[in-house]
Amino acid sequence: MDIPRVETERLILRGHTLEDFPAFAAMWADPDVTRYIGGAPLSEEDAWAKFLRVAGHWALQGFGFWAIEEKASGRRIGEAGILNVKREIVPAFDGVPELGWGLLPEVHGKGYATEAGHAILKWGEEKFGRVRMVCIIDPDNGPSLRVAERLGFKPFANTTYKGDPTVVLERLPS
Amino acid sequence: MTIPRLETSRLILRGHAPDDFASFAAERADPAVMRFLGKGDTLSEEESLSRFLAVAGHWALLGYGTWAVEESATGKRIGAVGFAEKKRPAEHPASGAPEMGWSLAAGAHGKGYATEAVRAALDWGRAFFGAGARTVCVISTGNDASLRVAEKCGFRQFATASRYGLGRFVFEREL
Repeated sequence: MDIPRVETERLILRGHTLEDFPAFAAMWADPDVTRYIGGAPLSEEDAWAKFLRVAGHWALQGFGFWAIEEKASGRRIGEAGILNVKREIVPAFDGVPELGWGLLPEVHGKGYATEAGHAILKWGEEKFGRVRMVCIIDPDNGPSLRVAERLGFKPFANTTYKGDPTVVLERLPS
Repeated sequence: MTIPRLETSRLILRGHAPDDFASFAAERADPAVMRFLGKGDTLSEEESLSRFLAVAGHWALLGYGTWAVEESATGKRIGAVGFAEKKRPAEHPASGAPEMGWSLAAGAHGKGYATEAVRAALDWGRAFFGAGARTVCVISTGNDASLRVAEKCGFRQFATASRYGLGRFVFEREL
């Protein structure tokens, strides 16, 4: 399927292509990225499996994760989007669109995640209507918790996911 | 992309649709199917979905991949077969060539379906990758049924490997 292109003031959200894989694999091999997402750096082989899933999510479900490109530099600086991946988590939220994001450490602190998140929520409202959305964040990941709050998410459960402490947040349709 | 559809005397090879997820996940939750695959463990629904999405993404990004195998007589999806780029580490003997793989629901074992499906996929692969291109497959030691399929389909064992504490035979053939 053609993955829609979404523009914000400073960012372009677009589908990943094969040429993005080296940057994708480098990002997921960085312990500063995986500290709060997944816990451990990914091998190239595991990053590849993840990259394939990102493409397949769009192909099968019609939504998914975009590559985030910084307009000023033209560089892929991270990824963000909406998932439905049947997480084994209590409380379960199967079928509820889940917002997620991950950015390279060197572009943290510029408000990019919030900027991408707002654009995706707007796209999501056109796609799904005004529905409840969720996200999951490591309780020690203060910057992402603040992004979630700015996007209108509120914590509603503390749980574990794959053995790691996890906060589940929700955003109710206004 | 449009995934090519292949027909054999008893089978149809076609792309997976979202509705195929239930049977895809059921196979991967069955110890009889999973015994010789990966770590030898059954997969949770979440893990199966992750594989199912990767199958779709592989076609979208590379233009080849893994088909659903459907039994013509019943119209039922009975398994999967195809070629995968796995980006195995360079030191793995199977790295660097499209890797053929197959798995069938336990109820479809022992009928020659895997051989029939693999042959059809190899024929397609000859046109796609070019005659003479190399393909490989990796099969757990002890998986006698799949080892026979590989031999019947013209694969020759050329190396061994080990992963998750399980031994593997690594096969190759030219398309």
